[in-house]
Amino acid sequence: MKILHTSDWHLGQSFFGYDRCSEGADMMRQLAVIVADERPDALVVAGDVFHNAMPSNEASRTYVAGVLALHEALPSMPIVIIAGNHDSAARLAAYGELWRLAGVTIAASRREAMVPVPAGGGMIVPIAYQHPGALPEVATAAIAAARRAAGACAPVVAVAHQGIVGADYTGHYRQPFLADSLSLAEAGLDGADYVALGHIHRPQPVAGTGNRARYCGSPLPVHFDEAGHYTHSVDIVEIAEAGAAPVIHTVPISPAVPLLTVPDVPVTLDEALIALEALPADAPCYVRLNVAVKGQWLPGDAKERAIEVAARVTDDNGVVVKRFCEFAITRDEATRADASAVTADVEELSRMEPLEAAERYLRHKGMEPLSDDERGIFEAIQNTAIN
Amino acid sequence: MKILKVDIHNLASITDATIDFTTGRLAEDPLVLISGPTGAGKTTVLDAICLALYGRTPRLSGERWPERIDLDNDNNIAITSLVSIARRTTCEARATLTFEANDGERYEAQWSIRRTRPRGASSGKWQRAAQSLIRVATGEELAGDDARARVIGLVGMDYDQFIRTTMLAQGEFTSFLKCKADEKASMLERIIGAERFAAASVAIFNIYKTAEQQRDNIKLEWKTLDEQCLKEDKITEINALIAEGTAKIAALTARYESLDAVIKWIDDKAAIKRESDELTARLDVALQERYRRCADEKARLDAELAAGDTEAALSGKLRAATEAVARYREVINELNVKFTALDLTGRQRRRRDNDRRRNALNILLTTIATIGVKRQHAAELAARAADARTAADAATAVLPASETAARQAAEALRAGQDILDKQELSVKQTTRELRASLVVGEMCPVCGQTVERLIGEEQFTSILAPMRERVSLLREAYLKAEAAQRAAIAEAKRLGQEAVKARAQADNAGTEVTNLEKKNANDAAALRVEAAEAAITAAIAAVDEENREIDAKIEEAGTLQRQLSAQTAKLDELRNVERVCADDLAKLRRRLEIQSIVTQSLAAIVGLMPAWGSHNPMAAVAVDAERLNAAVRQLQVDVSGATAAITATRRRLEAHLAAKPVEVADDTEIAVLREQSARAKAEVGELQKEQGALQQSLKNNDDVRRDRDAAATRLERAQSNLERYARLNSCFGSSDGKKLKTIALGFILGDLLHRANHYLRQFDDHYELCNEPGSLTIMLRDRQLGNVQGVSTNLSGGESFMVSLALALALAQAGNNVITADTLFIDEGFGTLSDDALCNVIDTLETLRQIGGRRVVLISHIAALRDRITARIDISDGKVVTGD
Repeated sequence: MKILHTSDWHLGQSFFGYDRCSEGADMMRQLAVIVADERPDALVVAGDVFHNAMPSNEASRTYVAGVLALHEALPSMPIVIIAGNHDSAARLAAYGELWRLAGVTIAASRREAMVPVPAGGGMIVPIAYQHPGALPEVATAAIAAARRAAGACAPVVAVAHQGIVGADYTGHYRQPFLADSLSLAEAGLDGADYVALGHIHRPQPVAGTGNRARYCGSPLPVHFDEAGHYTHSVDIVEIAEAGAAPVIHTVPISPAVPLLTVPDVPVTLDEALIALEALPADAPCYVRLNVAVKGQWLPGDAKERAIEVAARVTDDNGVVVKRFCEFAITRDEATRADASAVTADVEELSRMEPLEAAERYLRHKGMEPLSDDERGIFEAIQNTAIN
Repeated sequence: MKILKVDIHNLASITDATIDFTTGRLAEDPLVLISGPTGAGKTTVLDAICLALYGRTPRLSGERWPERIDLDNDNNIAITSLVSIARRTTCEARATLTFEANDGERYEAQWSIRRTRPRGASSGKWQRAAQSLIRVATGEELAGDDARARVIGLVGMDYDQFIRTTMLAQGEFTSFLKCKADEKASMLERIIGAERFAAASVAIFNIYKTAEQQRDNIKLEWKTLDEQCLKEDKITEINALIAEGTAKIAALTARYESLDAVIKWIDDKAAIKRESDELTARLDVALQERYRRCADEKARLDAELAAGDTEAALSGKLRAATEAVARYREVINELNVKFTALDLTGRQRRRRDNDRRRNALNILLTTIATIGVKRQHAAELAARAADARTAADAATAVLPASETAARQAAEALRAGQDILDKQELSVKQTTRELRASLVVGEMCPVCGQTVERLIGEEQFTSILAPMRERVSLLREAYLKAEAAQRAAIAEAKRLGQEAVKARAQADNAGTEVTNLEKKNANDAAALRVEAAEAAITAAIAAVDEENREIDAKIEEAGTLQRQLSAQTAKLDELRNVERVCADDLAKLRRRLEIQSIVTQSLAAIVGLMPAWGSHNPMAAVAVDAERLNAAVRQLQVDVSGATAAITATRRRLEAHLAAKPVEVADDTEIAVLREQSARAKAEVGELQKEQGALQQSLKNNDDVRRDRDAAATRLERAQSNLERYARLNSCFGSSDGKKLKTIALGFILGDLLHRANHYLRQFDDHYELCNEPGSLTIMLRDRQLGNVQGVSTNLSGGESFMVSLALALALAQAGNNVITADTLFIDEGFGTLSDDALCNVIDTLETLRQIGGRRVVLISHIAALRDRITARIDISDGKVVTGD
């Protein structure tokens, strides 16, 4: 069985105020080309189709057009789409019946039917995004049922949207809050011959499983840190039969408007602006300026200047070519260390003497520190207060 | 604590509802949505939980049940009264919460109110709300305040803490964001006390204020003193016045001094004149009187001298007396010579020696006689001693004989006794037997004699009797002999002793005699005479004769002596006469001398006082020439003295007059002058007083100035002392301790914001929260540019929501008390968020369960959330439906 495994389209993402629907459409077009080329037996989309629970109409339109294009690229190919954590499952499933007419199965609830793959002779088990507490039961039951139904040698492919222990979150936006909670076995997913996972945007196999469980990654970089570190792609997965090791090869996707961090190493603001200026004027891109800052902050007008520099180049439609988004700030060690002393947690404060509080205060106001005489006065007060 | 089940009865829009969080999706999913149309009662669920636990609800601004409402109908109930939560037209309402407390046990907390009238009549008065707490396992129940107190203990939080950490009520959770610094401070203080900071701040303030007060006091002091100081021009004025015064004084002084001089001159003139008159008077009166007396006396003296012996006559007498004296002297001298030749004393001495010698010789004589007697006596004693000796020797010679006799007697006695004993023995019984065995011709074992015959018993005893007799006779003889011996011994002894005594006596006497003889011999030698009677007698006779001679001479001497004394007496008499004459002569001479002197002196006096020369002396009663002489002398001295004094005085007067001051006119009245002088003096006195006052004022001014300058120094010091504290005070001092407390709390707030920023970053990564050091104002700051985008009071709705949520999540963590409920309720607010923001918030809230174990229950009507969140509680038409 040959499967095209993709996920995390994040359609309808509003990126620093810029709408990315056209890029999404471009990505879908590329997908359609790949489908036409590879002619997979099935296509699975492992969640996070939309960027948020209420996608804009534009995003919906892109979605519909894109999926239909996929279908038309290979009408016999079943398409399975599951809801991810960013999606509104109910919304995805709202037109489920309609999609069925196009061979698209939308899996958005707990109990979904498995999808047989006629061409490959295997079974696809769609498991929509669950809370980790509910997942194992659902997954195990679904995969077991699929096994029974598929027979002994038919490969079973589970499609799920989950963070698995050991995954590499490099560049992922908001890392600390994406907590790994389950191993494959704990998630109940280890019964399948291949687990097509979504949720993590870097293409990677799950550690310790060989290629049997894999994240295909997002086809487009969702954030600046994802671009430039790894290529974005979709997977073509071939499983001979039940129990066989899947064979993977990736097909890269190129973003219509790349996410650039300029320059590669942190430089001063002025140098960064020069680099911005130096970017080619004909290639649209999203720009993040890599700036090294002395002290805590950039100059107050940094943003305006960057926007102004970027705005110097517009395309025929008057749209700015270089779309400035934000700064990546690198602060020097000393500044970083110093910042922490402005606060004190409860533990610290319960131990702190008034003298210390005063000295810290003066330091951070940038005022003259206490003279010896003043310190003496303070200490005397402290001692009498204690006694 | 874990929230398990909520039962609601007749609260607001809900008739009856039970929400069980322990089953189904409500138990499993991290996010639960309470949705429903507006006014359906979504918030009522939260109200029910709060009421059940604490009897309060945030919606009704936390008001506790008032004492008792005297109401007739519902219309008069206060809007915020808890009664209003009860559903209209019902007579009872109830909220029950089943929860698992921190001790692991299940409890049921319930709040209920009812009207007084029984069910059905909906117009009774609402009674006070009842609160109860039941421990499910045992059924034990607490009520009212006990229940509330226990709830706080079990849950670990009081109402405010619960609200803060568990319920983010509609519109309320921005309160922390928007509230004033004071309220923030009090809230933060509940997390950690900051008393010591406040105390330190107050202490600094007090120190500063004290120092300031001190400085102000000193400043006031200085000012007062400064005002008291005189100005320069015034000083100059005073000095001028002083100078003026001095000049005036000088002028006046000169004037009165000159006046005084004149006055003095006039006074002196008068005085001198007076003196002169006085002296003259004295001279005239007293001295003249004395003169008269003296003159009288002199006259008398003259008379006396004329009447007495002349000098020549007296001289003749004297001469005669002297010659007689010389004659007698010669006679006496002759007698003396004779007398001396007799050597009376020598002879007398010799006579005495002779007497002594005579005595001694007599003694010698007697001694010789005594010696003879004694010698005789001694011879007698010697003879006696010899006799005694002889007797003693004889007695001693007899001794051995008696001794022998005694001995022999003893021996005999012994032998006899022996034999007797033996015989006795042989009589005894035992020997009787032995005797029985005796055979004639054998030896007797007892006495050793051959047995000649055997004697019968009767014979033995009769033999014994004479033996015994004999023994007793022997014994008598022995005793006698012994006695004789003893007597002999005693006698011999006695005689011996006597002999010795006699001998001793004899010896003594002999010795005595010898001594006497020796002594006598010595004495005689001393007297240069033989120790023989004849010689001694002769010597005595010689002595007697010499004595006779001496006596004769002594008598002669006596006669001479008598003569001598008669002559001497005569001589003395004559000498007396001589002396008297001499005396008289001398006296006369003296008087004559005096007479001449007195005459001269009187003449001299008269020379001085010719007026007196005409005195005719009268005869005085008696004249003592010497006294007269002395008197006249004195008088002369006095007179010359007096006249000299008078002369001197007159001269002085002349000189004085010569020195007359110019101003004095003859008609000058001294009284006027005096008056003028006095006036001038008085004026000077006045002026001087004024001067004194002026000087004093200058001096006072100096003092004041000195004090003022001292005060200025102290002021400087106080000022610099104050400045020591100034900066501390401005930075940290406050009368209520707020400054430093706020700084300390600012640290806490910073920590809180730091934590909140973690959450906020997930929601919107452009901003972060911050506060200025020492301030409790929360500000939003661009994460990259650092410029403050807004103060927390100026945020948009959505920003407010996100920030408040982040803060609420951080607050729930803050403090050492990490006891929270397992559920976080968030009531509305999501409507203010844009899609992306909402997405981010929901994502974050979902993960709360994973990291903190807290489930989130949202109350919202937003459709997007309905899509997103599968575990839902739908409330509508007073009913609650849970599920997908």
